[in-house]
Amino acid sequence: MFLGRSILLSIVDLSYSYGAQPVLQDITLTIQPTTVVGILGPNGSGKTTLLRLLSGMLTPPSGRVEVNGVNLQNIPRSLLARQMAVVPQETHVAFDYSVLEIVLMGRYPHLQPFETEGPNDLAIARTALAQTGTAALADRSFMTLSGGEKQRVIIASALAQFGHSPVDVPVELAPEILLLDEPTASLDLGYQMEIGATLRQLNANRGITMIVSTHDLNFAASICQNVVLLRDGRILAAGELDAVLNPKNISRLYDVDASVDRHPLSGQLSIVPFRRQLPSSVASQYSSSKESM
Amino acid sequence: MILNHNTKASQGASTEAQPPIRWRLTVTWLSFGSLMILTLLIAPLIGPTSITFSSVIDRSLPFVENVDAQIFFIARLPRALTGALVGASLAAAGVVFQALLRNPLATPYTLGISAGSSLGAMLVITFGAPVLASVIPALPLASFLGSLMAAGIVYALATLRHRDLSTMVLLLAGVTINSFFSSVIMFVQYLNDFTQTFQTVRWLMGNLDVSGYQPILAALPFTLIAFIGFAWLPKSLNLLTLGVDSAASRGVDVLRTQRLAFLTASLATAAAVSLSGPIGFIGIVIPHLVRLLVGADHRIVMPASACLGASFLVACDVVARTVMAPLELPVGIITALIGGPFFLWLLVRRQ
Amino acid sequence: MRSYRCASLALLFVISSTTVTSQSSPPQRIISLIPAVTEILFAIGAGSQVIGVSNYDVYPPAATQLPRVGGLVDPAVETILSLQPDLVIAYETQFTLIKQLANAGINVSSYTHGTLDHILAGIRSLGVQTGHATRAEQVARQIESDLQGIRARVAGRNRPRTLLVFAKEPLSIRNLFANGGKGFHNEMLEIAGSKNVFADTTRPSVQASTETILARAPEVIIEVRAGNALKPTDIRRELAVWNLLPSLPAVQAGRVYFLQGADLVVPGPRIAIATERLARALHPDAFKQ
Repeated sequence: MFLGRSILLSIVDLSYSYGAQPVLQDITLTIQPTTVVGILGPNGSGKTTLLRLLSGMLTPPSGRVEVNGVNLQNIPRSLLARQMAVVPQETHVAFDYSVLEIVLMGRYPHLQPFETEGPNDLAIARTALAQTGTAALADRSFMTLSGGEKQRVIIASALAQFGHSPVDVPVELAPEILLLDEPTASLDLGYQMEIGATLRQLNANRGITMIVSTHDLNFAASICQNVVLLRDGRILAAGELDAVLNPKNISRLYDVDASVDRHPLSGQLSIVPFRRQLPSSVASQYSSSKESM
Repeated sequence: MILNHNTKASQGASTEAQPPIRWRLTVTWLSFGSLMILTLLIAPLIGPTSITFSSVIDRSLPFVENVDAQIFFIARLPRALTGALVGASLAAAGVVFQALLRNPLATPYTLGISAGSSLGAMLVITFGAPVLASVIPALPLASFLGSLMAAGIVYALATLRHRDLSTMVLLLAGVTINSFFSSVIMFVQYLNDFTQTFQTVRWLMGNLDVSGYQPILAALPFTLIAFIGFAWLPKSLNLLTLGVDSAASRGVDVLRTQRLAFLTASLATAAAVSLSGPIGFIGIVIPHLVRLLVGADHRIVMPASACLGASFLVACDVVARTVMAPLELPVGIITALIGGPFFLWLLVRRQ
Repeated sequence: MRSYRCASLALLFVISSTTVTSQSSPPQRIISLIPAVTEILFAIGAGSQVIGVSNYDVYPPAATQLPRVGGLVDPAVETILSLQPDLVIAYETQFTLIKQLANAGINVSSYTHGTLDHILAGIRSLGVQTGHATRAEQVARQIESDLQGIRARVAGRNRPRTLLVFAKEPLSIRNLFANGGKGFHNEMLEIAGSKNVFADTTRPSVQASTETILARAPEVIIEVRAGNALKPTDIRRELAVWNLLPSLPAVQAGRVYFLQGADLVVPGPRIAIATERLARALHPDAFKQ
């Protein structure tokens, strides 16, 4: 499955099981730099597991993940942290850190064991804050922020993990990959749109490659260029957003009849479910072959 | 709260602006360190018997006739040093346990170490010391071994099913060990006669009166090892408080950090409790107080807590031996009398 | 001697007994919850009248064969009742027990530990109560004369400042409990020819910190223990601990002693024996014959 021009992330025959329960089977995927890829699917489809495999937190028993051709398992942890950052669904801090402190924590992968942050790190942190529109919150206590503000600060902290210097470096030498696990699941509408806008900007201005898992089709439609549909641990379909996100695939994914139109005002795909399907009708109406690109 | 968050001056900074961490570290070491040194210098001069510094350093009198010097060097100075060592250990261990368990209410005793240590001590008080305790006093040794045993059991329980140290399981294992050991302790206490009961009760109240440098030197290697381990933790602990996954994605070897944290904090606590008995409130009050003063960055909180813990315990001990002179109160009473209300105030403030 | 005082104390003791039925003949089924009282009863010839003793009784050997009925904090009321005593001698502070027994119609006497005078008065009054007044008087007189004898032997000698230690943490000098200015040990020390370093305190026992011990600078240290648990090697080790304070006059002069035995801590008929043991440690040359 080819999603874009050159290859940044390559996933080959990836499988994973929790004990006897298979969660992911035969996942093969390639992701190009600067693309925003959405991983869509219902709960239990394996989205989170896939993301954890991509970030190196889980070790696959079979198959592999490669970044720029290098097996993930062979990349030292701190080096990987400079190329790949994870934004979880929610972040609860146990103690009262300031926003700046949290963003500066993104610089730790670049520091020696007893080294403290320097002016360069501070500059990168401030840039990250600016790019997520949270510069004004730098001295605030993280705990006191709203949900949307917290997520943007966490994204800034993830951004701070990239880059040795504020100047732009070709993306092949310093890949910047952001993995987001249901970034808007616990946010209300306004904050959802905030995050969406932030992510779009980051992708457009900085060329960050993003892999976003979400069950919110409209959110995916607002930011993703490519999507991967996961169901029961297998890829149902993958490819460009407009091609893959059609009523047929949506019904195969969610057992739901939905309309897919281009919104007159935003220009984005707008997916509106209107009917739940009965299980017996699924098998008879549609074929089960995967879409190929 | 000048040491807390960024000041307005560094906002909108030039590209050469320093992040606040460096000067904050320097200021922390200078201020808290001086406080500790000052306390250590003054404490041995105060006590129920009045002594003068000039008599203490008077070389003309032979030591055996110079009671002031004897009191200073044999009774009070070791006591102050013990207070500093125990206070620093308990406070630092408190910081580490709170970070490990991601819970500001955790104490060095949450995971059962004090219960293990108390059981060891109680067994010696009730049943006497075995033959091998000819060189090493049996009581501190037994309480040290008891702590390690409790920590070992908790660790084993926590890693039974999963390789990684789940904080939830750690907590549950700790609570279980605490209750189980407490019931065994109660049973052993029931077998005590009057004298033994007295000894038990007094040991549990905490006592810094070591009468010499030997006990300190015995505990010191373990404390040093623990503190060397502590030096490696602060950045990782900062990341750990964001969550296990967030820490891992920022390059932290989570399992190794958790193991190191558990090991060093348990070792420091075990050494402290075997030296002085279980003294409460330092491990929870000092970290909180320090965070109120300097923020949450562990690189600052840990050294500050160690220094403040040392100063606090030494000061409490001075109060303990002077407030009802010539009677000397157990130091644990003073730490509780001060720590308890303070902790209450902390909780109320949080609402 | 102070016979008038003794007599009045004895009367006080007799009066303090809570009697339900007046008795014309002496009690034949006595239960004693107090080791000192047990020793006294056997010493005055009333041993055959004793049918129950406390958990802590160790002397005389005959007493250890008797049924046990608990102690100060945990008297076994059921056992006491089942033995059908006609006199129970309990601690003054065992209010609940005394009330329970009184309700059951049992004669109860209460007893207080106190000074040497109390012991002598106690011996005499127990003699009266149990029908061994003559023997009791003999025992009391013997003790008085023995104590007088000790006094005479050490008269005129220097009275060293003495620290009498009841308990301390094993192999350490922490949590050390020493004899205070009140109680019979004080008198024993005085008769044995010494000065208690804590004579100015008002409590029977004092927890002494290192500083306090250094400040009081005892010339003699005597450790006393109730049991006989410690072997000579253990005793040597415990004594060696005092080398932690080499500047103490007692340690300098090598005058640190360790005495074991129930007679040292039980304020009973062996008090003179115990006092002599103390005196022998304090003034060995006075006993050289």
